[in-house]
Amino acid sequence: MDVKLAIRKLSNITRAGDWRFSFVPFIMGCVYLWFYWFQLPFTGSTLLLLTFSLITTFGFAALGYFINEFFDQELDAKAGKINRMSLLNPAQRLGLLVCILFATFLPWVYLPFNEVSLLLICLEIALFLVYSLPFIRLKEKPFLSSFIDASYAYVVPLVLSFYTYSLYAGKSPFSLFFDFFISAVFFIGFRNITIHHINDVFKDIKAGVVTLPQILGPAKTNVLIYTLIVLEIIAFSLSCVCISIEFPYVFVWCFLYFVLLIYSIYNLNFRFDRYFCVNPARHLTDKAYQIWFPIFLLVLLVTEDWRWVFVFIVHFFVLVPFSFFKNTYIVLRLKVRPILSVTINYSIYYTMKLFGVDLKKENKSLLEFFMRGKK
Amino acid sequence: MFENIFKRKINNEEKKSTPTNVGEFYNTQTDNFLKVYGEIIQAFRTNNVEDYLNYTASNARIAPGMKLIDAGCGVCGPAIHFAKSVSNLHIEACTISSVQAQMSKDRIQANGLNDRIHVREADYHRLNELYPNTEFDRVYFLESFGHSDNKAKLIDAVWDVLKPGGMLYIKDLFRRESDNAWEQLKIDQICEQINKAYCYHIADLTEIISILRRKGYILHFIKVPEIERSVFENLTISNDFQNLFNIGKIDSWDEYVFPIDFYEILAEKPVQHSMEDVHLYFMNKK
Repeated sequence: MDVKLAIRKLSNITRAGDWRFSFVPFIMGCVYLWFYWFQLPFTGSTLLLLTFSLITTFGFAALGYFINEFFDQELDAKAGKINRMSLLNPAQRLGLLVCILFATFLPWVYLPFNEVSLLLICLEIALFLVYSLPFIRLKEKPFLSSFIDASYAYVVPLVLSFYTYSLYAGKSPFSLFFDFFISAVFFIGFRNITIHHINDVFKDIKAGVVTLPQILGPAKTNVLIYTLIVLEIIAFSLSCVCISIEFPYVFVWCFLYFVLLIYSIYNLNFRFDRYFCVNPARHLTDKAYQIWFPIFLLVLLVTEDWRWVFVFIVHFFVLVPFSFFKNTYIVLRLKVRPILSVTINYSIYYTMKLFGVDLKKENKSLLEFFMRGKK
Repeated sequence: MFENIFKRKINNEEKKSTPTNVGEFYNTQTDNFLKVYGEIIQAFRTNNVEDYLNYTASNARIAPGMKLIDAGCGVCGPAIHFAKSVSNLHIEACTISSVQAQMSKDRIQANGLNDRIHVREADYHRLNELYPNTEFDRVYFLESFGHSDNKAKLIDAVWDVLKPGGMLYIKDLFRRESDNAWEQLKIDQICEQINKAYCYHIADLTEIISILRRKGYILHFIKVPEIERSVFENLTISNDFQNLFNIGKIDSWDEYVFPIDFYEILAEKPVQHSMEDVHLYFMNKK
């Protein structure tokens, strides 16, 4: 069997495209943060810890989508949505479920856990179920569905991973930074599920599912998303400042975070107008969390132990979308290059002016100026 | 230094449908339009576009011997067709694009219609300054009305040049309306994208009707173009144009909301002078 094709099929069925480059890299960024926070060394056992963290993260994400898709088949058919689960026969579904369950739970044979961890795992699965099960189906209850989604996609996995690493490190998990961080993550999750509801608004109307944006309408949804962005920026910044007090290098991230925000505000043509909630500007902060946050932490870890380079490479190949490389190249070529060019040209111009040479007046480049005598 | 970096943004912001921008747009894009649309630059059409022009002439009630203004005439494709198919028409054609004006002149010459069609490069908001007032039987806009950034002024200018009893004919796209706020948002957003791409100001039908009525026009009809579905071209050419030249291109048809409706409007500048006369007119007691 063609392995590449099988992986592609599996990723399609589990809707990996929806989570592989969004909340999984962010959760992994958090995992790297825990490594840094708890000062865990790069050893065979911590590498295993990291690998199993990644596998169980994939497992939980896939399980969430599996349960959701499984119970959505009827409604999706009504709304004209493609339901990946309906493309599988019962045996394939069972096989897929077994694989996902293995990926979700097998890592816990190695990962440290106690009653609190078990409680968090149960809570995560309970949230999956109450969200999707036909007789409860809280996903059809506006507000509540957004809270549940933000909780199971972001908050619970974050608490679980932090708690697991604190168990591994044998250190207390409580810290002021974590309070701010968890608030920021909740706001990020709430914003993203609201955006997801906006994207699906026509399909949901068709299927008769009422979601928060439908109740609020575009104007109030705009305000909601805008408020969530502001709140998440405040909470995330405060959490970073709190970490910086203990780990000063993280302050570089605070600076980088603001630079990224300013760049995104410019690049996304940020305007708080009536189209805000349907424009790319609603994702203003996402790249910072999903791409740059894990990359920055990996760089920090590399400075502590060069072997993190290997994790860095794997992270790049598995959790960074190709479009990122393409866009970075374009930005470097179209935006950074002109700035560099102007900086260098002006430096040359003023340096030469110090020596009494005005290249502008002479209408010559530096090279032409030095070559003039040779002609 | 920063001028260049922000140039793209500034350009995007300022690309509005002012007459100058419309002129520049057609100066650069007319060749592309001609490659895809041919001489009739209209999205809503029949497979055989001449059928649609005949339909237009009939609905605009164009009759032999009339004096017409083709406002936003393109390369005079429709004007040439009308001049050939209806006898003794005198058509004043007006375009804001110098390229289109020159192309129109060449085509008029090639068709030997110099004495019937006269073209000039001008802003149609100034029709009343360009042409003698109360002279014309018809002023028509064939998918050109939406380029106006001041429709009230344009309708005023048309009023001035029309004879009493003369008529204004508009065939254009109008912003669709929906009772669902999210769908309306999507419609408005797509309309904005179209406006940016084509230097357009897609009109709001209700607003236009209100302007016409306030001015005193008598509305004869507002209706969707009545052509059989079997001969309708299905906007294929307009989609081809968007795809070929990346102007207002639709990246995904998934979840696409159709943002516009096509309507024809025929409005008359009344012969009557007093309000009493107008009321009597409506009571068919002329």
